Amino acid sequence: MNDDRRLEFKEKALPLLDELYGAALRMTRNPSMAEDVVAESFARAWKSIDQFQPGTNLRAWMYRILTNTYITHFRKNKREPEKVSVDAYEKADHFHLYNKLSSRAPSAPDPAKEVMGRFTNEDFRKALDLLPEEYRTAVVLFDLEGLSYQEVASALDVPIGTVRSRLARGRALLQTTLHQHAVELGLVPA
Amino acid sequence: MNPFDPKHWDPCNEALERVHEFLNQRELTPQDQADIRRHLTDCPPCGDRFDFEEKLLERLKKSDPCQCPERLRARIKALLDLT
Repeated sequence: MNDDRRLEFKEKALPLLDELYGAALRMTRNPSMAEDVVAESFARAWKSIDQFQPGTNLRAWMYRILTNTYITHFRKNKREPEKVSVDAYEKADHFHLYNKLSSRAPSAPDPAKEVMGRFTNEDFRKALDLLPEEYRTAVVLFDLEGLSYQEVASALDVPIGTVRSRLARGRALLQTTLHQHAVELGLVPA
Repeated sequence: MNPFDPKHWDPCNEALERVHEFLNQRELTPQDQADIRRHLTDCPPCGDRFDFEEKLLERLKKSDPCQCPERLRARIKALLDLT
């Protein structure tokens, strides 16, 4: 039985390496720590392979182990997650960036085009990295990696309602950060 | 749709709150999806916001093309082959 599981694991988990490393990198914001988180996650998954039900969602299982490994083994080495002031939440709204870009003169370029054209990959990565950890992790798992609410909730070991509110705040803060960057680029007045 | 249900008093809010569920094509019933799609055609301001958010989300996903370092790949393969 375990041989079947090991075979399935080898076949299906190895192709997930790039995306799992990517998620670990966004969680840790540190390439060498990301490598350790991924390696440790594979080691843990391999060791507890008998808990994996063949034919069930291996990807969700791996993300759960990855998130758990990061939170329990690696985050403790660092300071507590950063806190964002209540003020920042209150100012953050869902369509902050869109609202700011579209409130310019009617002759200004299409907001979406500007976001696609003027912001670099680095700008997006930085904005994501600036999110407080608990929001960043939720956004990475749901928006970037495409896990379901239930899968994110079980990876983070929080209720679905908490996932929803972390996502809402995370995305709103992301738009606020991107707006600040748009101001720096001169796309919108301060 | 029941017009006396407070949930439907503000169709824009209702749609905008579910923008990510809609864009990710997850968690919504076919009926909810159809309701939102109809609202987006009826209401250009909401349509523009959804469009913007969709592009932003795609851009965010593309900003993170990650390749696992060869060193790590070798480490994992060794782990899986050893046992």
